[in-house]
Amino acid sequence: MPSPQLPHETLTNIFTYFPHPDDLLFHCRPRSTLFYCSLVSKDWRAAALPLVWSTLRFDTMLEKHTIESLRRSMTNSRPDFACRITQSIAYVTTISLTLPPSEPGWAQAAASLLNLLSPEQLRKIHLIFRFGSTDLDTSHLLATVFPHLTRNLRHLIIASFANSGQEGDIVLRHLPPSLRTLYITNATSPNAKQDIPYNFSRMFSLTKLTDLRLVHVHHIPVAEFAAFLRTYGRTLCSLRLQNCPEIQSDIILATIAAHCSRAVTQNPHNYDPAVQRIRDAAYYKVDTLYSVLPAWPPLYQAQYSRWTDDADQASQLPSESEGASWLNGVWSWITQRVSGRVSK
Amino acid sequence: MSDPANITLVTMDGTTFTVPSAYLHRSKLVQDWLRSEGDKQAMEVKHVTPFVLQGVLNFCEIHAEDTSEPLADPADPTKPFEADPRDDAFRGMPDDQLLQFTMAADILQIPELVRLTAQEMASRIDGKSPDQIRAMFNPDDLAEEDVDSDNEMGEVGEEGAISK
Repeated sequence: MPSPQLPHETLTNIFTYFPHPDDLLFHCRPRSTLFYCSLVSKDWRAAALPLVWSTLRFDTMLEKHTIESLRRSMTNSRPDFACRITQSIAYVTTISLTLPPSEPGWAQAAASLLNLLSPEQLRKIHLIFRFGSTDLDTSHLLATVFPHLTRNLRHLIIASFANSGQEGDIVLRHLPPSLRTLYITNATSPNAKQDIPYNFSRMFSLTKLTDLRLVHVHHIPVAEFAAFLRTYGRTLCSLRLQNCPEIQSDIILATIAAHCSRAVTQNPHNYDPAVQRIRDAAYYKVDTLYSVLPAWPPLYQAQYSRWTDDADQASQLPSESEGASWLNGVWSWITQRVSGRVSK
Repeated sequence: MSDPANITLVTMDGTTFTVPSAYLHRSKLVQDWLRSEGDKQAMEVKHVTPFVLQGVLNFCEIHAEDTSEPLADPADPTKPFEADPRDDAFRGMPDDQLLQFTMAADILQIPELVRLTAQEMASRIDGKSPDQIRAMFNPDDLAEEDVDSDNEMGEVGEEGAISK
């Protein structure tokens, strides 16, 4: 006799407690508990599938032929299977894009798959720009996403923005008005070919923004940013400005105090060019290592954790692997020098 | 009219439980009922057996004087959640009872109990095969064609999802 049926929301609640990566392909190999839950019953399947398919991570671990396999499955000879895959694609709400790709044709394959998404379904995009030359395919991939797939986008996180080169403007020009969260980090670094004065005017028209984080972003016009804070500062719940020399001024601090009454702010860090040079050099070392071994998952995880400054993720650093030890050494080097300068 | 200091709950088989209203201050269902129909004699809690309701009320009594902020979203696993030794009895119950407590927590909308039961359910399910999960909770069957298509999806992932 079947047990009483748990409501859909309760099952979803239970499934969110599984400790595992959230990416679709990590659910398939090795198969995750969540994947197995989708095979238990119709109710469990209905609750598990949206979570299994919620995130697609396009990075160096996702090979071109895997993207093409997924794309081909939409036109599978078995119409019922193709239909199910097409329906499942509709559950994708988050994508993560690591650019530029290291595999020829990868960007085209990714763009082809992303074209299957509806303009309304994405809620979160995580863009990570690695050091490397961008090309027309990368531009085409970004143009596939921005603005066509961002109609209901709520959260946009851009890491190492300086590495995007001119392509970064494709993103900034098409920031969707639906955004609630916007993080832009490292828009200037020694890895970049040039210090690009990006156009931030679109950012100043985001009326629904509640969480803004700018770390190491240069060339933001003070007057426009102050006007933005005066007009929309009341809707901000969180504001973090770090190493953004132009806007870390008395004018901006006074504007924050007067117009961002709801925002939890972090004290803007004093910009110290000497400290920054040390940090930039260290980042360059890490990035160089990463470009040498892009497909090594532990190293990728370690590098990513460090870039995101996430203490929880950083604590998961695999300590026994050789590369991670090397990386730890690099970060000790950073820590010693940066903390030495900051403490003075 | 019922005593405002106490509340009477009636289970699916007519068994009544009268407890201090303060025990159930974290139950959204009870609080909504008190606001809209508090002048009635007793609140019906359908689909909950006397045994399970007694257990839920025990949980509420244990936590009645907790001063922590009510949970806004019990499904947010990013919030740190340390096991409370007072809840050990709930973690040790058999699978079928845990399932019923999970449903009761959902019906009564007690976020702290929802979180406790959901986390316990997840820890028991984690690492289990579909057959093992079915043996534990005995839900309705899944049609064979659904299983077939999911196996094919798994094969898509196996073609090379992760670099060697």
